[in-house]
Amino acid sequence: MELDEMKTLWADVSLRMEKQDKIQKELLIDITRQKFRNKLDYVRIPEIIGALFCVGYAMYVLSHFSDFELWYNQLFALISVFILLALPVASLSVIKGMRTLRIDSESPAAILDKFTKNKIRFEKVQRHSMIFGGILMITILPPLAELRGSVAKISNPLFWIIYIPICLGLMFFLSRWVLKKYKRVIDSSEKMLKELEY
Amino acid sequence: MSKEEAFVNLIHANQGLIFKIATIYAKEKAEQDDLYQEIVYQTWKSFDHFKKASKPSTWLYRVGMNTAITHLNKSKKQLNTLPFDQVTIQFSELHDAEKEEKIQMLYAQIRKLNLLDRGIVFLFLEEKTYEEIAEISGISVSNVGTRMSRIRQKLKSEMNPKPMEYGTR
Repeated sequence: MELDEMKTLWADVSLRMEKQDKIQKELLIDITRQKFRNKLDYVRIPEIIGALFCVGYAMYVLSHFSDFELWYNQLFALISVFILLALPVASLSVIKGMRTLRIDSESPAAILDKFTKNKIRFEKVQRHSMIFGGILMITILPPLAELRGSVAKISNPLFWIIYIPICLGLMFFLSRWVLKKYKRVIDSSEKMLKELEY
Repeated sequence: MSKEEAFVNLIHANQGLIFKIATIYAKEKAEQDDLYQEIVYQTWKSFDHFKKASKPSTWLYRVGMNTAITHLNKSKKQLNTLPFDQVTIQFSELHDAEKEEKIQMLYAQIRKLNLLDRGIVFLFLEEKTYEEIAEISGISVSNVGTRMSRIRQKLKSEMNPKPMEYGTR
């Protein structure tokens, strides 16, 4: 279809759109209220709960740090605390970047550029979160066992013989799945950025 | 006039424009309704800036297109719409089947373009000049020209696809 033919058809579409019934005032206000409620419920609350859980657990581990007698549990506890604090900070900062886009004052080209870059950052953070989550699976259990007085269990070589292969196996499958899952999204976003450049 | 009344008047005056943005950026009816409602919500959210905007029409085009870009670009969406049947865009009622088919083809072709080009074609179809398109979309006038000629070529090549070449025996 040629653009000129499109223009003629579009004029017809425009005319029909203008002729439609007007949406009632009450419905417009309801739309606005419902959207506002949905944003609060679906976006902020899970983020905040997740971050609070991570920070709370990190604080718990730190407050019992002097109770760890085994050197590797001290190391595992530090790694766990680092991951539990770093992941929510990284995730929330990317989401904040996406939220601060000024829809009413920036141009569509600028919005698309910023949004796509933020999306790529977000997907990368998600990817790293999954991988660090796998590491957290390994490092979180032994210190917890020591805090709960089960030192004998984790001192037993059999525990490590079973625990390490299971964790490494899980890590392997998780990482493979994550890399595959996010690669496609990141690739398509990068393609969009390239299209913006021409 | 209260803020609420001014907002409702603005939406009523530009209802067709918002519908058109929703239909070129979203394909399914539920998605179109969701996008329409998201544009209404974003317009309300930034309504205080509207009063300060130097060109109100440019402002609304930007809010609509920016909302479509950010809303549809999210990888996973949960549709949260109010029942919206009374305002459905009812092309099915049309008697002219041929025209109806052409309109569906028009939408299909526009939706094949990337998000920015879709907006540029939309503004072109809205009878905007290259200068106005550049101002609204945030790219240079020469870039609008370049993009329009590429879009023209793309549309033409889709209408007249190259014949498949068969190997010689």
